[in-house]
Amino acid sequence: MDTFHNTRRHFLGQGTGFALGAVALNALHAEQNGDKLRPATHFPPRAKRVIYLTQSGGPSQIELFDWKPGLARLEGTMLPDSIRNGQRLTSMTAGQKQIVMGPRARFQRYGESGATVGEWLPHIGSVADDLCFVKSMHTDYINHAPAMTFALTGHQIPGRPSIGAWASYGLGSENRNLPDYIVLVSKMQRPSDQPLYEYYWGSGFLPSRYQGVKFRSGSEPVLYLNDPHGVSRRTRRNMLDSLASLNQVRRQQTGDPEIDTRIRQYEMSYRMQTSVPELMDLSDETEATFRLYGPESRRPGSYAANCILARRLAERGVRFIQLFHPDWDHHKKMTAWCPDRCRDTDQPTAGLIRDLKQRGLLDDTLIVWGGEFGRGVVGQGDFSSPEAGRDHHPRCFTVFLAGGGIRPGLSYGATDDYSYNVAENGVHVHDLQATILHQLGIDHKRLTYRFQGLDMRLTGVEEHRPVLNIIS
Amino acid sequence: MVYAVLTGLCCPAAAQEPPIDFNRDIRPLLSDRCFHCHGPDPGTREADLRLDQEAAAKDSVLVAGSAADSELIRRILATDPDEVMPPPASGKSLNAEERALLTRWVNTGAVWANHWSFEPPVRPPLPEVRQTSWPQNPIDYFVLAQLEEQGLQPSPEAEPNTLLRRVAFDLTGLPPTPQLAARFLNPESPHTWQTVVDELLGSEHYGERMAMVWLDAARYADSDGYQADATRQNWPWRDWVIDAYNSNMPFDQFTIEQFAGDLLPDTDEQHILATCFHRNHMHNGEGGRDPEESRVEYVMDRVNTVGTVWLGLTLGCAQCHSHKYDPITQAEYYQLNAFFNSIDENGKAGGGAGPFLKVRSPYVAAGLQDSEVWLQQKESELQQIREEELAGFETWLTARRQAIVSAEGRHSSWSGCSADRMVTTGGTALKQVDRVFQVSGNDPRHDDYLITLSPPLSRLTGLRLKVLPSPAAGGQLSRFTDGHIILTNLKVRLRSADGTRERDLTISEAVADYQAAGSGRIYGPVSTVLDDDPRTGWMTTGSDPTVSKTAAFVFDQPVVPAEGESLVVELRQRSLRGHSNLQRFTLEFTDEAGPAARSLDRTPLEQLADQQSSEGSQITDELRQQLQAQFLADRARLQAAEENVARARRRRSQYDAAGKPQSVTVLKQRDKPRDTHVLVRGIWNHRGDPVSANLPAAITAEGVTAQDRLQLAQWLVSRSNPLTARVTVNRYWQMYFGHGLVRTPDDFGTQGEPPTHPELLDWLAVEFMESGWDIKQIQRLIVTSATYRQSSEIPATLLQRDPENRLLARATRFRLPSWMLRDAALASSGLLAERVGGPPVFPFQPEGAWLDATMGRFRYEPSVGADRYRRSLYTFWRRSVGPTGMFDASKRRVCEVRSVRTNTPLQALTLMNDETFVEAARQLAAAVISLPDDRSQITTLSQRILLRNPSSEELKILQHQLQQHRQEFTADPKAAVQLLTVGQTRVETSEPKELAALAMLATTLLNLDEAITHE
Repeated sequence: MDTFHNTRRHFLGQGTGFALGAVALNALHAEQNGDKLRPATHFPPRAKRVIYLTQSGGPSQIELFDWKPGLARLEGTMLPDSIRNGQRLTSMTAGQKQIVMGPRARFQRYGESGATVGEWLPHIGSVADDLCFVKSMHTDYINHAPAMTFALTGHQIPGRPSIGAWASYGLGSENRNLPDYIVLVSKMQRPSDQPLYEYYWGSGFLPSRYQGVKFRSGSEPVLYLNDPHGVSRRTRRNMLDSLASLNQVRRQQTGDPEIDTRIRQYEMSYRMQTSVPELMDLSDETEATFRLYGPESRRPGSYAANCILARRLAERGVRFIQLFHPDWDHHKKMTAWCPDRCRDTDQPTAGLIRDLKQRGLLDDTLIVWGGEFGRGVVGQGDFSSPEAGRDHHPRCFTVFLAGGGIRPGLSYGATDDYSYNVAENGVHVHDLQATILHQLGIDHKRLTYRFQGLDMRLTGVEEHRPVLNIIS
Repeated sequence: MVYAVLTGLCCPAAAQEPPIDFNRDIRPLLSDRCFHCHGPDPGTREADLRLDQEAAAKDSVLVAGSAADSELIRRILATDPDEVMPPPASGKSLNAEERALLTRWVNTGAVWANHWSFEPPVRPPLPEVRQTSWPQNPIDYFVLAQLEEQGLQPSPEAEPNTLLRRVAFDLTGLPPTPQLAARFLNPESPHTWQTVVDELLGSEHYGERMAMVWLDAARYADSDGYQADATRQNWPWRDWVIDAYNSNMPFDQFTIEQFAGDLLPDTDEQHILATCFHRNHMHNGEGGRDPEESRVEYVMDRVNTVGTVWLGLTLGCAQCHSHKYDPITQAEYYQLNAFFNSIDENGKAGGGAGPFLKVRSPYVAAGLQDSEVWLQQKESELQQIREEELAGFETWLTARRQAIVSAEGRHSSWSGCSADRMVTTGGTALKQVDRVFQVSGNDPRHDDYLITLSPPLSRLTGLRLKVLPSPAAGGQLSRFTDGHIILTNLKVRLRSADGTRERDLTISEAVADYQAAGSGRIYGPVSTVLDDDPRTGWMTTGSDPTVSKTAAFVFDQPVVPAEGESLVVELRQRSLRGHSNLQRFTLEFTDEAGPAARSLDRTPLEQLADQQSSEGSQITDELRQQLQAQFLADRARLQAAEENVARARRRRSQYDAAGKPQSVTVLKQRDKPRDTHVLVRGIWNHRGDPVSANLPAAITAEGVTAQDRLQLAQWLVSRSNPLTARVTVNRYWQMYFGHGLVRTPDDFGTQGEPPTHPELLDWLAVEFMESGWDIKQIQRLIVTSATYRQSSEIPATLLQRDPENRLLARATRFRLPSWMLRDAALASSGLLAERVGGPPVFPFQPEGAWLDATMGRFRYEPSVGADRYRRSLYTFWRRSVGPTGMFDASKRRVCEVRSVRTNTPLQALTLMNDETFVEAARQLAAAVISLPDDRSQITTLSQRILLRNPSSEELKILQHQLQQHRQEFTADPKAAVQLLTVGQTRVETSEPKELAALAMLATTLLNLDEAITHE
């Protein structure tokens, strides 16, 4: 409709638009023609799709991945000023003494790569040879909403498109019966302290068809998907046939091609009413699959069930699949709270990687696991009490990637002895975003959209680049 | 360049070169390709060269009249990649046509002009036109002149019904009332277009429609936007806006009151209320955040909003560095901040977000009365149902007593279970001996027990857990030193027969015969085993650890397992102290409702058996009451009636609360002004040079200054301001034509699009100012023009020539905003509750739609009664998750003035399946069911929705459809009844299948492209 024309004009209007926006332009033409997409990328893609396992709240790298053998001995000592080096603290710990709290989990080396993984994540440890850990991630923000907004949209203030929307805009879909960008949120019984704002998967200034569509567990996976009670498939079909005929009449009278699009969208909605429930229904999965993803996987809405759905979406060609698991914000009671989130996610995450691998899908599916920031080495509260936890920490944290052309069995980057500062090969949030786009065949500098007179892009105006060293 | 494209389209054969217009042809090129490195921002300026200023450019790289001597032309024509400008790596290269254009511009004198929108508008003379009979008012001269120049004809006038729908939606956001339609569409009627327009402008719905657009610009919402997203009470300001539009408050006054109502010499409550405009931004109360950081953000948000809404400038670009394209320096940005930097606020959210105005709304009484009537009605329904149901109690009781007698005086409410499968996660072993579960093995810190079992009863209402002392724990409950247990979570699930799906059974209540005391996030209360949090749980410390403990858990709904389904009971023991695991326990189930399911000791029926055997047929009053409670707890109809009363009470108390003074966030100067500084790279605590309040030089006339918010507002609406009037009339134009005359309504700067009709825009802007900023007058002018009244049909030639309708040779077809579609469905079905103002309402939305985003902290309960059918304007707007059905709506996080229109399958699903639309379709069906035949039913539906009769072709299609639906519902009469019970209203009918079939027909018409389109 109008946004289509707007968008298109933005590209045409740039003179060099074809070079700048070839990827997106292709998607738009295909949309217009109703064709199945054959996307033209900037360079050959290594991944056809992304599964982004978003861990919201800031998982502790100190307990989970970033093993510091000497840290236990430093327990109870003051954090040296030379290490803190002016780091801003949140108002939750700014007023307290900066005393080091050693890791609360034991570590083990796994596989041929010898990757170090904490004891609360044994299943992830068992697939460590398939993973690439980036231990030198860093971000610019210390509070949840700005940091998560930054991690997902490239800017700390809400209003930009999320990375999934950019990917969907750039590449379009391989499946005409499902949206290009699908979001699955773990259903938790207890209220979480970090809300998952809709704009985390929003399209920002991009046309809203690129926004993530949240699939819900339960009887209506997509809002308004179900026909009203009493309306059978046959009744709906007859209604749509009549609607299409009447709209055709209007099309002839008005000459408005937008009506053709409208007819197609109503037809797609009808197909979605079949394709979505079929997707969500796990009754054709084997007992072995449920065992692989763990005991929670039979419960719709759990992270484990969502991991199975992620694989099913990958099989169906959905471009960008994003899971959200909340409640990683462990300011207190680290040893009870953190293991609980690990139990939710450990076996399903490992199961997903194994499952994709055995089905030959891991090669062209990029997995990303990570949150918005890490946690600090200083104990929050009395470090010697089990009540203690850790505050937010933006200067370093760990994410891991797998599949999609990423080098397996690698640990990239390092932090100092306190897991406080990046010691080598720092990877900024924008670098990670550039890497994800790169694996999809997109040059992050060339995927742009004209908004308020500027050529906007995911990775902002400063110089950032994909981390080529972790690409196989 | 847009013009270049357009010109190319329109005059493919034009051989002679058109004259160059600097603002139209040259500035956009320079801006887009050169200003980034050679523009206003010194931070990124290269070679000390500026091309955004005439003098600077002509002093260095430009020789007017001689491209050959101009360095600029030499460099853009260079072939050496190291020489050519812009550098190839910038991705901003010029194409051959653009290079030729620049060369020709220099050769023809390099005529320069100030950016068009920075010069105050001057009323242009009306252009000459050939077709003098067409124009209805001055607008049409400008449009027609351009059409004639392009060799195009305006379109004929639209059909009267189309025109009437168009103008009613445009001015009131609603379809025309049947009365208005009857008057206007009747050829005998003296009702002219002018009177229709005046009637609509005089409707109270006019103010509602205008307010909806203003709320988007004002980023109005009913919540703070961050973290817990606390609810706020700013809605009295929303009603102030509606009133302002309905009383046609001039736009200059409208502006001044919202900027500085508190600073007016004769300030009063309404003036102060108006200033809520500048406090509608989000509030961030995230834990750990520095409130000063938030406060600085709020100030910037206000400046950016002023930029977008009044100036049409992207001022926010100058937050971190001077603007890259427009002549706004970073210092000037912070000078604008200074106007808003001394509000008496501290950056906190929720209750700390003052200054507040305590104000009582005049718009509560009607709703209060409504809610009172509704409550009384529900209470009397409950009363009646209760009496009806109670009539069955004695019979039930007799039957129970007989059952006890035939069981020889014994009754047991609880049934034990035997497990099919037992799994632990802590390396221990679990087995069942004589119904008692026993744990053996080591003593892990944490251990979960997963027990799968066949349901012992065909219906389940409650579960009872008995924790027993164990020899392995030295005769105590656990192996922890104090001998006590901590159960962190209990989960019960129903597993499908094929084993692929498990459903959580919701437990609504948990009680125990002992629990450690305490509140908050600690171990103790048994109810915390339901919260999925390992930091809380049931703890028995404080009692005798050698005595067993019992807890009972009540399911919120009776569970009736299907054939083959099994139960999974999960006991999680993940406490902080650890090693507090159950060693021996039993699980029992009951199928009895009410007090039985939560009884830790003898249930009412067990007591009945006890008393019968001991005291003959006499039972105590207390027991009788309990038995009655158990009986009534199982009457679904009564439960539903009680829930209705509870909802009605909640609504009633919402109105009680709304009737009290509301706390509206408003502007108030603090006693001691804050110093304002440039913030280095825009970072809140990196202070640079001090600045004081001042206006941006590039758009301010010589000698004009402003010191405070009042003067800032006065400058915005002064004749010397080049932007406000243009930007404002452009937004009105956008409402009626789908696009503004400037198609970037938020950017009138050098990177924005130039106007399609520059003279018309200036004429309207001057007219607007000279009319005394009369909003209704300028709107009346637009909708009474011939331009507005054209048909929106798109002849193939015109589609090819001007697909985006930039020349306005027709009206524009575009999909109506989603909020109008909902309002229209309510209006045409007669459901709409037309009341103006009052506290926000909660229309229907699917169950649980907001659950994830509200972290379980906000329960969305659809309003009952008339509030379910209020206009969308009054819908409660929570920022973290918007109202579900309002696709393409503004996000209400920051100011938005662009309208977004997409076309997706999700929208189709919403319009077909949202309960509001289904209910509206059914009401429409009910309105026509008594008509004599198909034809009259279809015709009437078509009239109500489309304001016209169907053509014979359409009639045939619809008759065929109706026939099919009749057959479907005849074959499945139950389906018809189901469809008729959707929603809150009930329709009595003896012909459910007929009504259902007609409802499907009505839903078809509501979904027609014609019905949802501004034609």
